Amino acid sequence: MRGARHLLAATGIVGSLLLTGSTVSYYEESLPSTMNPLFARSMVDFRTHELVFDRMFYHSAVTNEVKSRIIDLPRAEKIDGGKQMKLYLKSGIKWHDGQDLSPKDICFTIDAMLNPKTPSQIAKDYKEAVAGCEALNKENAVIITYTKVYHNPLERLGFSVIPEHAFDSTAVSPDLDFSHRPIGTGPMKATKGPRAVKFTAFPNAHHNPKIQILSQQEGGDPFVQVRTLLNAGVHGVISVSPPLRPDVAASDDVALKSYDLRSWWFVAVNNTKGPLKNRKIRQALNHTIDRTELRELTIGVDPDDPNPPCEFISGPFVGSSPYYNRAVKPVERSDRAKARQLMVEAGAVENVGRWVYDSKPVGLKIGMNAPLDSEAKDLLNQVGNQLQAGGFDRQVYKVTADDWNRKAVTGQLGDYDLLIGKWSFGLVEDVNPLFHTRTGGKGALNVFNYSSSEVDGILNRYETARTDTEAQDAYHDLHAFLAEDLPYLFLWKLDTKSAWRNEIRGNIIAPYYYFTEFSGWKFDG
Amino acid sequence: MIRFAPALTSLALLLSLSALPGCTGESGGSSSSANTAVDLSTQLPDGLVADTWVMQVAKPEVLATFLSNQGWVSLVTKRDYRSAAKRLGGAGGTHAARAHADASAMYRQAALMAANSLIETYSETPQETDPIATAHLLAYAFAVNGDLDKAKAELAKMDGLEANPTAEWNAPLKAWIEGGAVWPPDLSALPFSLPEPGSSAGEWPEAPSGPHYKLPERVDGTDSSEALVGVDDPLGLLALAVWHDTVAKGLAGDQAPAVELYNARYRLPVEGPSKVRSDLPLEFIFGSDYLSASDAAYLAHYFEAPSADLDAKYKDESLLAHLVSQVRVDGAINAEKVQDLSAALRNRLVADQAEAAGGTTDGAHRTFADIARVGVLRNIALIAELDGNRETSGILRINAMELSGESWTACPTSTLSLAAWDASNRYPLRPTENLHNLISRYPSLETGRFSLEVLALRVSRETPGGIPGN
Repeated sequence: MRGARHLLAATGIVGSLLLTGSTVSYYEESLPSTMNPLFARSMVDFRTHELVFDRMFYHSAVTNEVKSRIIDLPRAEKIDGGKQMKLYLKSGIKWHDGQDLSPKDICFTIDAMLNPKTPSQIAKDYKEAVAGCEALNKENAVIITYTKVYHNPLERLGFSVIPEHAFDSTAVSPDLDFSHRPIGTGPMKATKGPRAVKFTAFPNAHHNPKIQILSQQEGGDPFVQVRTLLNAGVHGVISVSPPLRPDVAASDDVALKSYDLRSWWFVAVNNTKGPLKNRKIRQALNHTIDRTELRELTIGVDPDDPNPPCEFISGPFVGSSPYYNRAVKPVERSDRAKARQLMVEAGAVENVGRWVYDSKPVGLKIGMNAPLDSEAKDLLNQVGNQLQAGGFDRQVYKVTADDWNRKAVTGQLGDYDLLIGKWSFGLVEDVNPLFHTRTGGKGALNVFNYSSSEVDGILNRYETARTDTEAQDAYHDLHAFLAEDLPYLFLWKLDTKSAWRNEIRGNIIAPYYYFTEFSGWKFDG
Repeated sequence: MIRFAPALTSLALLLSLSALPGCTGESGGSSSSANTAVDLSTQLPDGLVADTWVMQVAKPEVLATFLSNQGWVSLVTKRDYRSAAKRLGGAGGTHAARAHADASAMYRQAALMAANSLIETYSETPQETDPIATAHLLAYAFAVNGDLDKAKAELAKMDGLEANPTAEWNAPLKAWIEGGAVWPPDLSALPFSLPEPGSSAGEWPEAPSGPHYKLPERVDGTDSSEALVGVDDPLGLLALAVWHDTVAKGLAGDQAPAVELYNARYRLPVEGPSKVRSDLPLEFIFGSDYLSASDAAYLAHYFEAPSADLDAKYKDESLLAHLVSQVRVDGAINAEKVQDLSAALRNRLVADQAEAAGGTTDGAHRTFADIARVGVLRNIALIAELDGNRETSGILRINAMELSGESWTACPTSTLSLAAWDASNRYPLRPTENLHNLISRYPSLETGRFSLEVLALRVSRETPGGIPGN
């Protein structure tokens, strides 16, 4: 308590210092893993890039209308029966290095995405829809050719535009200098440092940002984040931990803001090695975990909350999703008898309260994406404690956000047995990259390189579905299968709430991308 | 502390406890700076503020008239219509009518949400694989939206179907539409029954859970025997809306027009605007989004003939009209001004209640002021929409939603109203989550899930760029 009081005093002092001047600062979950929008992996990346780059087309965060800041929408023309679109650029738009945005840049971005040597997961969907691009420099226009006629061709062009002059080739690599020193046309110019990202307003023909300097800092302890916010040490916190939301709601100076995102949490199970190859042992783990207790200990529960932030799940979708299979019930409480039965059936032997399999104690190396601790405090230790109480030896480690982005989601943390993480989705809930066998560009986000021919078959059914119902049925089947096979122990959905001080006005938060309407944000400090 | 009479203790305790986070200090939950709010509070006429329900119930003897029944606690502090209807049902009269009126509004908005979702899915972005009998669903959707020509055109597509799985549901719909869609529809022939409204005060019937029938998708030009769409027919929502409305009007007796006026802003397009123009009794504004007795008449009039001239006509009696007159810039409602003024009103109401109670702020004061503030945002959002200012309307709707995180501000009807609006914008992400949360409290709303889900599926499958982020 004494330490906490000192901490509070410190945050108050820092706060009063920080909020002098015109800098607006906020806490992010972590720093971005890259500043190149072609290689965005984390939600931090997506949010950050929205400040620096313009997407060709985007949806209004209020009315959901399709809009563009760089294309003159009323002049857009359908050509060749809708197989092509002629799009005119708005004039006078500059890149952050002062060069003009030109049709070549649009076509370069498309060519880069179409280039097989550009290892971009983002590009995958666009590759399916877009066949090519022709720059008409004299007309300041481009002709986009689609792979087929779409009823919503503009919505197929939601990618961020990058500058041709910053690259030597359309084979864009994530290792290039651009990933650290981006050049965009968005409202803010970014400089990434080791502990913060500084954004500086870049007035342009299509943007007039009203906040001059924005500072993104890595959030640490959730309590400190919120106290610093309440003490005016920062202006915003992207993700406020549920137990701290009442403190924010009770403040006169800070407002909770909704952020439409479908996020669910999981414990990925490494079924490629040791005892976890055995499905029954994975199922035993599923019955050893007590989700109800975990939620109470790490997130908290308010029985009167009309919109509870946390809900248990039994598969890879949030409960409100059309893909969620409601026939598969979540395992809410631990069932030690069931877990014991499954372990015995798997061939394990209990020895003085510890499980032994193949003559060795069952030990689990457990990792967690470190920033998650700010939303569910101490989850890693609590999971470890439950498994230890269930007879499993355990070692726990926090995985840095950088390692998570570079190694975990790319299947390179195979020395772990369990990894705790979360996935976030917008409107589209394509989970194929999470569970498909990692081959031929598929399964790009398969944490432990899980491979199941049954699952691959179901995912293929989803991908080739001719109707919405077929797609829905495929994912319902996937949900049911995964709940048995358990490459993940599915935990819960957890909604995201931000908090911003009231000096920040007009701060409309866009679904998924967050800062889409940033030019309208104001600072009344 | 406010001195509550013994009979008031339960509500006072509940309200105080439910407002616990803000129990100390002056006020909580504002989204505007205190300085701004204080400056603007001088723009709030004393007489109109004094006439608000918030200040009327600041008098213990007035509040006592509501506290004789726990149903009001359920209604105002929990927004629990079911519990309120059951508890207030025994009291009868306008008290019970209010609970059923709220329930009717909720089901109306759910019915509209379903209709808008179906139009956006099967009419705006049809696919050749869509079942032929989705024409029945579109007939419903267009009828609810008051577009009878389109509803009849959809019905005509059903003629001559060899097999019609919707038959039991389609027959009463067809009869209603062909009869001119006169409100209320007679849905007694639907394949489920509801209690007789005349003796149903306090009852809470549910629509049967689905799927109610399965429609074959079209594959290679013929009906598939395998690809079947399980449908929850939204007519169940409409039937519940009509049923609660009938019960409410029956209970209200000669005050039945007050039920109509109270729900004027949540009427379905097919009903047309209400012509009732009178003040609402306190039972119909206590704990509601309306501030003063004349607000509903102003809003109803605005629905009938949207015009800024009405601000001037009503602003001496209606605080809502006065507020609207203050937030126009060049004739258009300014969202930022609305946010500031609603925050100022909240602070003013907290202060005035404290003054009436001898100088001390109580949790109940903040609760009531929160309700008033969010009500201003919701109602002015509707006016902005009627003005054709959809962007401002959306900003205010979203702002109201963000201030509706407490049990006393989390109004199911406004949540579904936002869901209906979102559906009309082809934006299913927010409404699917909001509806999902409501279903645990109101099981019949499960019927609305189907319509939203088909929209969500269609929109998501035509949207690229869905990369999972961690």
